[in-house]
Amino acid sequence: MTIFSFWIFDRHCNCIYSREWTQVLNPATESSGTINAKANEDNAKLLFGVLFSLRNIARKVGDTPEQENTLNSFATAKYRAHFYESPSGLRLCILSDLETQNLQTQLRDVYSNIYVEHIVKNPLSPVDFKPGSKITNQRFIRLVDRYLGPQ
Amino acid sequence: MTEITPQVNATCLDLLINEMVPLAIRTTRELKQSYEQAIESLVPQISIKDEDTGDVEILNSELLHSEDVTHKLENCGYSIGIRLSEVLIYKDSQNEILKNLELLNIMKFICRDVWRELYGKQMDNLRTNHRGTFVLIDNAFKTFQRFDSPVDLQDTIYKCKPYLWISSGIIRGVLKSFGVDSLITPEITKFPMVSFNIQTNV
Repeated sequence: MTIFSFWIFDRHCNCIYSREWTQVLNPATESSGTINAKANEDNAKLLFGVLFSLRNIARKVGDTPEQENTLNSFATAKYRAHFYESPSGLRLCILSDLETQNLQTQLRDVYSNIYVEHIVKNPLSPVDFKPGSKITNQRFIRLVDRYLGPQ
Repeated sequence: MTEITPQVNATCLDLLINEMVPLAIRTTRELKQSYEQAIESLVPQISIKDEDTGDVEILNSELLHSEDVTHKLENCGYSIGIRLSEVLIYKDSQNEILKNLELLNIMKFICRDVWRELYGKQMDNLRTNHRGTFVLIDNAFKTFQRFDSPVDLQDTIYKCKPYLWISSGIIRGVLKSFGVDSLITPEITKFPMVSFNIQTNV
């Protein structure tokens, strides 16, 4: 399983966290990839746009009265994008290799065990991010890295 | 005890405690403003605007470490403390510590029973000079468990400090309920380790 990058979009559709991992020989000493470097770039907006549209079309076509249809992932020739949306409108996305089929549990884990625990319950961190502001808490970054980053 | 003990959801309690410092700052700010305008029309003007809810800007207020805010928080703690010790004594009247009410035993009561009730753990260290000064040390203060500022550690410590006044008020309240007057200085020694320096008049 290889994870290339991880993105969080808040309910104002802004990218509040982006993490890209690159392969390094010794992950213990070398830092890998970038944090929040791509959040303001067009890529983030494009990714969000695709996810947003796909989610809408999933709902429009697949909804049943009992259950809402959800978007779980979509694939391109090079990567698969996994998507999870919380009821509060927080959207999490992972780009992985094509072999990784399903990351729904992992995304939910990140949301409930890392985001809720260390952003929402942390009184020093905002819960409603202003446009342009990002998650920069060291503990959050560390925990996400430990959970999703290359081992 | 077989009867159901009333319980409080830990998260709800945490969130409530988290709001205490911003609330103290807001009320202080509102009071200050309206005080400068007119004292007579004070009451209708005290309302908290929701401009900064869901945000942490409030903690950057210069009032964060002001005397008014500190005093408010300390007083909240004090009145919790004075009630809490009654509740604990009532719940556990057979407690060995309470049979001999000398100062060191009261401190042990705080370290063991009060702290366990509040934070689910005991104080880690109790030091005294046997002349009325005590230092209580908690190696991992539970309220600070999830505190992490987006800026850096120094900022975290700076903004954590007011929350300590609640606990230090609680200690003062418990001591007072045993008839001991005290002066308490809380300190963040090495985050999340905290210490309470207690000066008693005994």
